[in-house]
Amino acid sequence: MNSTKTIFLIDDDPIFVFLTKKTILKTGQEQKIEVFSNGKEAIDFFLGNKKNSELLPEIIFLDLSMPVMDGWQFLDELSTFINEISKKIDIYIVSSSISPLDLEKSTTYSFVKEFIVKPLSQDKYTSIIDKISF
Amino acid sequence: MNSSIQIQHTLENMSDGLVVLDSNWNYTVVNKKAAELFGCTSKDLIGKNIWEIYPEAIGQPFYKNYFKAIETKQQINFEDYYKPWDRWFENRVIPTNEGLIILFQDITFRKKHELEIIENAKFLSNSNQKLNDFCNIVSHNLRAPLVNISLITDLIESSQDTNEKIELVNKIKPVVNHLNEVFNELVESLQVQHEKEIQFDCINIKQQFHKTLEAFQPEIKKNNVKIISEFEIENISYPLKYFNSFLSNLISNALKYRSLDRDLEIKIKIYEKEGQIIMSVSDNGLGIDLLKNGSNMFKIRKVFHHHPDARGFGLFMTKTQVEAMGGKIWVESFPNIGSTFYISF
Repeated sequence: MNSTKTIFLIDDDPIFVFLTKKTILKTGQEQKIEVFSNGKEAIDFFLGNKKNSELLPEIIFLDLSMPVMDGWQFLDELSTFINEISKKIDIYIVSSSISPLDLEKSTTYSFVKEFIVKPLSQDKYTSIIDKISF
Repeated sequence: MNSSIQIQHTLENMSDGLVVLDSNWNYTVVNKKAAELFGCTSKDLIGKNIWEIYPEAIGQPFYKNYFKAIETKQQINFEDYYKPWDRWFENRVIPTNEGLIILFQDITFRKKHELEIIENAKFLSNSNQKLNDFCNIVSHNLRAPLVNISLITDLIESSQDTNEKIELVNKIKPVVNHLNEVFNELVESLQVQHEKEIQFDCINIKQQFHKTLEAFQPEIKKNNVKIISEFEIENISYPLKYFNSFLSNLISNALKYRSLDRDLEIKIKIYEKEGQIIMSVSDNGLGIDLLKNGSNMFKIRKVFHHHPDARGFGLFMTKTQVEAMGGKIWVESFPNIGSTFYISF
């Protein structure tokens, strides 16, 4: 049985966020989606809610190129306190980048599950949700 | 042959220049090669004081090394560019009880090639960096809006609902506008890099500065901004449109990213340092953590503070223009203290 999951979408592009929400809606497996428009906003949330497991997401879809705090900086910040978070969070980078350097860099973060090149398709989304469903 | 003549013969025919100086800095030995490198005969030099014959050498690196060798009683090896002759020498300075023995070789030919190779390597690594940056721009900045357009068209195709279709169609326009914007910025930056025939203007710095400042007056007055200018130089030969764009860009950034906790103070200096003309623009604004953001500072579409007008194009374009003219741009910045941008012309 699927229980509702919380998804954090960290992306500064409102159109992409709109379209991705729509894509997710169309899979019929709609979850609770929280949007943060850059890494800093998301980090602030995490810092304030480290112990509130029920508010933390099961999945993060993380953009790389963002103002104020980009995706890499988010991962660097998060890694300094990820051990204090008891909830298991799957982080997916979702970026328009097709640069092999970005892909390579993403593998240096052990807690990043996968590097997804935009767009996030319905099939991809479904397979990710199925993976964590029980 | 007795041994002293043998030594004499060896000295005369060795490929190094050899000079012996006594404790009063007078030449006692000048071999054939040394005389040849100096462009005179040994007779012209023997018995004469080195600093009287070559007063222009006083203060040059080898002058200092000679004294250092005597002081420390240690042999010193060094390479040295002798500016008055435009030549490079490799030197060994050996202190003795009676003075100095100096062995040297003219390495100008080798050195010039070395410098050429270093220059070429720099140029190549620079080109490579630019290519990398370009790939990054294509990858991040052009592909993002394209992905959006294809997502929108996919959703339109699969949608059965007319209202939804209309909603999606309305999303296309802003994406296309964005794509256009990025594309034009790219074209503009590429044009700068290939604009070889750009015209130099004789710029009266003070005059241009006041002209540029005119455009910002309302904002300066409104926010009680203090502007300080120090120009050591009156005129500069540089493309006017670039000069103006540097000034207005850096000033506009200082205004944009000012701290709300204190009145903004902008200090603009133009001065000469080590033969280079440098412009610096300092502020006491928000500043930036360079440890975290330094590598992105001058990249396209990178912004570090929330601001409605922040596009991440100004510094990228300034850097492109500065470098196209063979100059450099760099920054010193501390969060909540302020930033200083430097441009070398």
